[in-house]
Amino acid sequence: MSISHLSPQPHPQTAGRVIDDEAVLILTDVGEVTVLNSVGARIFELSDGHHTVAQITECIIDEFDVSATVAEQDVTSFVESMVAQNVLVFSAETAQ
Amino acid sequence: MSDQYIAAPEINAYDRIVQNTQKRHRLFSVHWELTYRCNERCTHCYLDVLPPGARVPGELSTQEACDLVDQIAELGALTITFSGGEVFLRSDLFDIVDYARARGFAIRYYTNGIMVKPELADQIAATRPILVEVSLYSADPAVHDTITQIPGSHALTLRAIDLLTERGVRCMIKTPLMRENIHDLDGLRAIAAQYGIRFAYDPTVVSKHTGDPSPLRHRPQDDEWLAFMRRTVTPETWNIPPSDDHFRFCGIGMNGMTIGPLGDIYTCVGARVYAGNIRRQSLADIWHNSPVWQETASLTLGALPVCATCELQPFCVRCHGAAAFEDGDLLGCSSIAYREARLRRMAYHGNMVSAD
Repeated sequence: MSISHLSPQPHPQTAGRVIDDEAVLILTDVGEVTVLNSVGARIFELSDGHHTVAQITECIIDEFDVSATVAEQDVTSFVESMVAQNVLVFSAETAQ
Repeated sequence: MSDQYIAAPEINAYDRIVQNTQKRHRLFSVHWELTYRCNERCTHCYLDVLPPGARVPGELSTQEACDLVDQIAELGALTITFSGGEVFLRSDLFDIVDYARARGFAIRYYTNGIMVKPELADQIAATRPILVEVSLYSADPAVHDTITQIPGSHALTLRAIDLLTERGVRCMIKTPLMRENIHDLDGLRAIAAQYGIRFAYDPTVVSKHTGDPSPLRHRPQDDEWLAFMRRTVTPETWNIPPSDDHFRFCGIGMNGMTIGPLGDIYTCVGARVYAGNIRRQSLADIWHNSPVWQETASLTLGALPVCATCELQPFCVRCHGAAAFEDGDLLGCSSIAYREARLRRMAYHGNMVSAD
């Protein structure tokens, strides 16, 4: 199923801040820390519940040196992975 | 493919980022004393706390606190520790904490736990704290209750740990090292182990920030301290720090701050060097323009002439605040740190000989 129309946002357990070009994420339920590089940090920053995955992908294509095909594949894969790890959640189905 | 945006495999990415915030004077963590009201009367406390029901004109309002959360977020900090007094006496605490969580902060609570009943435990769990640090001073209820001056407080604190851990909240038991518990830390460790949580102790009781030395009567005597250190300070457990001019005893002035209930901003809990008040200046103005950050961040070994030439430096865990409050000189020798360092060195060398 395509997720391009869904809007990711931080999972309720996620605390995070973009510091310089990286994002530091603290997953409070599991007590883990994840650091994202500049592209990951930008995706996290745009995951505010208002941008769809498609819109996030467009931003990544605009801001980074990456082709549309690769960006679509990578952003989708990254967001799915973050949702699976309870770092992000799609806004319509915010986890409790 | 998705993992390409995670900064691994660099294992220490988090440490590197924190170190960069220190080097660049970027705010990373905030310790926030939301109230000085407290429902215990701990005889070792470094604060002059107020009764739980006291009216405290001037405590930051909910709106002011939320505005301050915004300002902290703008400065880029990630963690806030909510403390007191007893922080759960703030009736609007969860308004502030929920707001902070929505702004992306990781939060931690310091508490004595005695107000925690099932409903409050549910509220705390719902805020998904990274840690709740609970003060428990002895495995012996009589000892603990004598220190808090609240009969039954030991049982109430244990109830809090019960309720919170049942809900999956990560807790830690902590205590300062005192005459009353130095012989029984294993008892506290055993309680922590029973709950599967961490235990930590702070080696030094400090005087009140008003200068009142009454908490110091809790400090262990030299023989008690030495016996303790002989069990805990060994070449395996004690890392001799570098003796170069750039060595720092702590991170004062670098990437953290302490906020008081009335909006005063300090360098840290221990030294409490005043930087400004958020009712008179923006937090950004205080953070970027107060001279105290640079002054205190420059307190490296090379800037502390007494320490730089002290033979005990490799064994010293000096707090600049103790030097200021007890010995009257932020830059001078901290007599309590010196005393501890002398005993630590004795224990260290004694254990080195034993190991041989």
